[in-house]
Amino acid sequence: TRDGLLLLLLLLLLCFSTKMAGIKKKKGEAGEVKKYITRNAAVKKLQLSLRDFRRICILKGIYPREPRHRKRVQKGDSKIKTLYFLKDIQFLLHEPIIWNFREHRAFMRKMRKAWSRNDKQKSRKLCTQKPFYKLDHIVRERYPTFVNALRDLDDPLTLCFLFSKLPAIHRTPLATIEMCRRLTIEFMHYVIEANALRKVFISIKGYYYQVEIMGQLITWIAPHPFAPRNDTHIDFKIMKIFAEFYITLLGFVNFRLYHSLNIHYPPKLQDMVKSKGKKNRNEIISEHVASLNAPLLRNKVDDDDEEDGIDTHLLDEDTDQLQAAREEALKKKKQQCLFKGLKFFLNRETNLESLTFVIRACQGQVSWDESTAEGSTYPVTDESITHEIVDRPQKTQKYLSRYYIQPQWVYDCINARILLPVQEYFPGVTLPAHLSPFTLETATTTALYVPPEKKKLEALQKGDLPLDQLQDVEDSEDEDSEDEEIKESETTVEENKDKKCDVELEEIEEVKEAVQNPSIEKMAVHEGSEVIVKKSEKNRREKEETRLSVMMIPRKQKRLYRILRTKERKEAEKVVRLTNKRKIIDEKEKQKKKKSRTIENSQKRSVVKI
Amino acid sequence: MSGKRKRQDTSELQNNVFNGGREVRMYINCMVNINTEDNEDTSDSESSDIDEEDIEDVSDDEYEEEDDSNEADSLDEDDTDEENEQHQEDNEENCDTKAKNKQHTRSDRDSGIDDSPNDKEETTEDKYKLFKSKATRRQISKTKSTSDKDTQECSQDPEIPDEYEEDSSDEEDLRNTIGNVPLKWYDEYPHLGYNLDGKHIIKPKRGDTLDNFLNRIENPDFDRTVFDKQTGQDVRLSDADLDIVKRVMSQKVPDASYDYYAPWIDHFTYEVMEMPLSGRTDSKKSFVPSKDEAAYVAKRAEQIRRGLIQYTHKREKKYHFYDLWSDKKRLRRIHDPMPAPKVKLPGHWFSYNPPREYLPHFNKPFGSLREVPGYKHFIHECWERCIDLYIAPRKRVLRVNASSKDLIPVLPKAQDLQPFPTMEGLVFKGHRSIIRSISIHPLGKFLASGSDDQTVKIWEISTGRCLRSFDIEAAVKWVAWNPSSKLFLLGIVIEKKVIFLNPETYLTDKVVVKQTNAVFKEEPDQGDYIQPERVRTAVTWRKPTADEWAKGYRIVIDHFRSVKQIVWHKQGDYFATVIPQGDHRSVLMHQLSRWRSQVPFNKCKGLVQAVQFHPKLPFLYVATQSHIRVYNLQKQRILKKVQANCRWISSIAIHPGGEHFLISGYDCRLNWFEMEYTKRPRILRYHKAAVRCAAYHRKYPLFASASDEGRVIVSHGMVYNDWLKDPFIVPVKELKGHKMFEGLCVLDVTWHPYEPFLFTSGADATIRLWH
Repeated sequence: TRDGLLLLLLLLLLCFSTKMAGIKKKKGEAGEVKKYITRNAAVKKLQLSLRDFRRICILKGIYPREPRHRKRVQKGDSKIKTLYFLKDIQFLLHEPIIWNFREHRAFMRKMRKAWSRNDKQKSRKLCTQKPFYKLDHIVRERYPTFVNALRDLDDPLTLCFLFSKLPAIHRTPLATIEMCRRLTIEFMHYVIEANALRKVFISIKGYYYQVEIMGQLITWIAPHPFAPRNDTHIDFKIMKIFAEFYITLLGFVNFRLYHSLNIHYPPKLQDMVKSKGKKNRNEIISEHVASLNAPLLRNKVDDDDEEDGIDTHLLDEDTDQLQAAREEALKKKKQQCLFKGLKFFLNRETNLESLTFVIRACQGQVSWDESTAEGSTYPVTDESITHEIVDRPQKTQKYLSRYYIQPQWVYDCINARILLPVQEYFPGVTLPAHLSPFTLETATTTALYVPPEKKKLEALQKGDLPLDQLQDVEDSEDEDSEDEEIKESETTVEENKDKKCDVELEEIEEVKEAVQNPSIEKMAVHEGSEVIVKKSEKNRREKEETRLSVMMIPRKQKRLYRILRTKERKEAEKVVRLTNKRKIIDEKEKQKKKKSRTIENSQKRSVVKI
Repeated sequence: MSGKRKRQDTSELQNNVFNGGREVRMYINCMVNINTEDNEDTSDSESSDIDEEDIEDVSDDEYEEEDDSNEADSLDEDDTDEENEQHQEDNEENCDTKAKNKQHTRSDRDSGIDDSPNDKEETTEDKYKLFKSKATRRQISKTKSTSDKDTQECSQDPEIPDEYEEDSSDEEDLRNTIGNVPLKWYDEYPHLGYNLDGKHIIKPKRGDTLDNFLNRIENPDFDRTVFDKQTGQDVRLSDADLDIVKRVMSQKVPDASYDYYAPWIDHFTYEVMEMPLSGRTDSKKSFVPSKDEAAYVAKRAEQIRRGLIQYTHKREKKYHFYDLWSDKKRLRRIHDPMPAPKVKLPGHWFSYNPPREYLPHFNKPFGSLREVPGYKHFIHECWERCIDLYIAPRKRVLRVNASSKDLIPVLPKAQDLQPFPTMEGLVFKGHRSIIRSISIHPLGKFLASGSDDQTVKIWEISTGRCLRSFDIEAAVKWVAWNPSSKLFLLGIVIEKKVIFLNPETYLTDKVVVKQTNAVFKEEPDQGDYIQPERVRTAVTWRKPTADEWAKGYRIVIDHFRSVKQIVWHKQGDYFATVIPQGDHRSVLMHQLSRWRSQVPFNKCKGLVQAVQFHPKLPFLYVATQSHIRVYNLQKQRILKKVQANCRWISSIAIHPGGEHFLISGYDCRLNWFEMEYTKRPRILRYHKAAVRCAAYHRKYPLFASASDEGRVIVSHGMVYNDWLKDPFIVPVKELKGHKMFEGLCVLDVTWHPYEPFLFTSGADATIRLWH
């Protein structure tokens, strides 16, 4: 009995001890781990194939997340896995589109069976019942408000513009391409009607357009007007899924945009198109729409000349900001009707679509030769044409009433928001540099390199430079700069001398004072003289001070300081490099000019002699 | 080619003539011919012992004649030997096989069969064919003009044809006696196989290259002779052979007469016969309507009627646009949505016509817009963007949008914190080696310096002159003036010794000097004091010898190990010496007036780096490698143990107020400690190299630190009485002047006792005064 009691006691003790210790926490059951799920686990959970999973992720806009502690989340595994939020995957579980995927799989099975049995009748019948899915609800879900959709429009536009240029082959089916083409043209029509174009940039990649719609800046790239080079490495399936979603999104956005301007959607032309030849009327209409050169049918266009549209109540206190905002709004307005009253004629070698879009978005009138494309409005012979855009060295200029200019002028004007002088853009002339409107640097900020062209442009915009006397000013500027350089070099030499003599000079002065002191023995208050601290000395002192205060930066910020410092230094180096390069180039050009001038002069002389 | 097969061939041929499948046969024949030629050739030389000659000269117009002769031959066959194969003969005149060899072959037996009198009339055509084949065979030896003899032999016995069929001895056996083995095995031998008698068959002679060359010139058929590997003979190809070869090479049927477009004979007709093959009547099932089908149809019809099946439904369009955002309802979104970062917008670099400086290597920009080509990576970039959008993990990152200047703390202007040394005043030159230590006389007049060049020099501070130079027997490690105003005494550390020197100069106060001399003339009376054992073994005080006295030595203390430092108590009577390797006796306390020493600690607490007395209280600061221990000397116990926040302490300096102290370390940091709160020192990261030493000014709120990088930094360090207020520390000046020598630069720093002057001694053997 005693032994039994002892045993009981022991058991009780054991129980206690286990209770006291509590249940052991297991790894990977709480905390950050529970937030994430790996891709494989997600696929398993959704009971989808990997391909379908990819499709649904793209359509629903679900992307992997970077955890804060990867190792902790992956239960000690440090190699990189694709991790999704568990909540996102759970969210996917309720997606009705998954059922469409399953239907599609069943359909494909039937189809394959029919094919393999060579049962054409059945396969034809099946084809008519091919399941498909609609993405409307996903668009609505991903973009709860219209502005959200606008904010995310960069990628859709770029992809659609690309797709509209692709050839219709198996991997890029005709239906998708036509849809993309249609939607991009509709969007461009909207931009034209709303005068929403803000910036244009011709890069080696393509044409960048920036438009402002409802306060959102949307930028996209349209490729150069050539068939894009095929890349065999690319998996077009992914692009196709994206295109599918983007088409839906863009369609809804277009619909909404058109309705905001009271324009018919799908677009209709204002004027009746005369059908000539055997072409189908619808075809002709669609071609005219695609030419971007016809106004669209609009319901009850009421000219609502609102005031600036600035939220003044927010800026009330800050008068400067208000002023700036007002000025900006004014400039925008000017930009919107930049080409108003101008008539352009495009030669056939120019990029018709881009130029038409850009000019019409700034309220200009455009036409081209009838034979080049559909949609021309007036012929070359029209005397009221003000600008003819030419992109080749043309010798003969038939009409004196118009300027013959290169296409860059149009784009530069839009970026500068003023009509630039035409002289520099004549055909055959070396064009001035085409600057990117997206860079932030201005002449006032010193940290970044500002190309001289930009400085000139800013001066033009401010009205400092008269538009007509451009070249003269340039020359004088050059001379000035030379003079300045010489001066600068002199001053630097002086400074160097100063540095060396600094210490000695001070000593000498002291000695002099000592010598002079005995002569001034009378106690009197004399007029003090300003102590002139030399520039170099001042600089040196400042530098030392900064060095000392840098030592006092707390350690936590020191690393950041170093990073910032290196970044700044690199930036500064870049500026120096670019300025130097520019200097060399300018000098070379100057020498060339001189040579050509001397040659001309000598020729003249020889002519005179003869 | 075996005769057997040949026989078969011919018989087949016969058959085929009747069957109408002659084209195929012809083809076979031709192939056969080629084979036979080869074999016959080999046998030419080998079977020289065969006496029958079989030379034929046949032309197409003679074929009938020949047939007759064949017949005649067949009769003669009996009396010749049993050999049933074809016989060839070797024309003896023609040793050279290629050109002049005339071979005549024929299959006599075959011809015998063919020409059996019964069939003769019917098989004319066939014979013609046969003859043709023979002729081709014969063309191997084609030089027709020379052939005179026409002896044919017929080895055919029409009565017993079977005998030959069973005969295993083949034609091939005779020709190619070595079997199907590579010929090179016989390269070393003169013979090539054996004949029936078991004798060597001698190889045919092959000429050397000269012969070959001659042959080439002389022989018109050289280009159509072929070397037969198996028999080692040269074979001349006939025209027909060449024709066949050509046809084969051009992938045609070898037989020229093959008709590609012969009418097709359809063996099976596709027409359905009207009459059934069997007379069975149809089953009832075949004409009674099926009930199952009727039920199925009825069911479907019912379903259609009810609308369960829709065969004609309108298909919805995939893309149909309407005002999607018309209602205000909010759907569930994904958790914590992070919008994808936008694509970076291009700068001037990407312009088609950028400013020239942006172009690489003075490339020319595109002259006009029409010259700009399509961008070849456009699709790829688009695709990469797509990939990024769906597979790249997203994360929020804080980006600092600040300039580096914003991070620099704003310090009070240095000018407002004057006085402090700003520039180099004097340079004390004279030492020839590294100056390890300097010390300034408490009255601020003299400067003593100890150097590795085994001298101690006394300098006048106001002028920078060297007043005296003492030669010591070893490199001086430390010098320290006695702080007492009554004594003029300099403590010097060399190796294991501490020497007290009276460096009297003509500028010194003579009274003090005399007094000092007088004090040390006599050894103090020790009374009944007995030195403890461990002190006696560690230290011995002695009077200097006469020479040493003349040199200025007053007392010499020998230690048991090398001494590093000597530190005076402020009154000038006590001093401490540091012996880093001394274990528990690494710190020794001495009393100058009584010539007595003490070992204050019983235990070794680490490698002692430096020792310092508290300026006001009887405290001793002992710095080991990473700890500082503060002892109360009066109460003889430890007051505080401080973790130095430093891996290796180089020196310790105590603020004249006594509440703060400064630790310099070899790990580039300075630590400012407050006695009240030693847990978190103020860390000053002024230097980028090891800090050698630091020092407080006695009067001004200044301190200086010197490091191996060559900089001495003077800082303003204000201490407030209110101990809640942190000390106000501002670096005010950076002093540079000493040169590097063997990785060392500034080794010691000392302040002037009452002026804001700083003295530094360097490895470049100079001392500099900064004021």
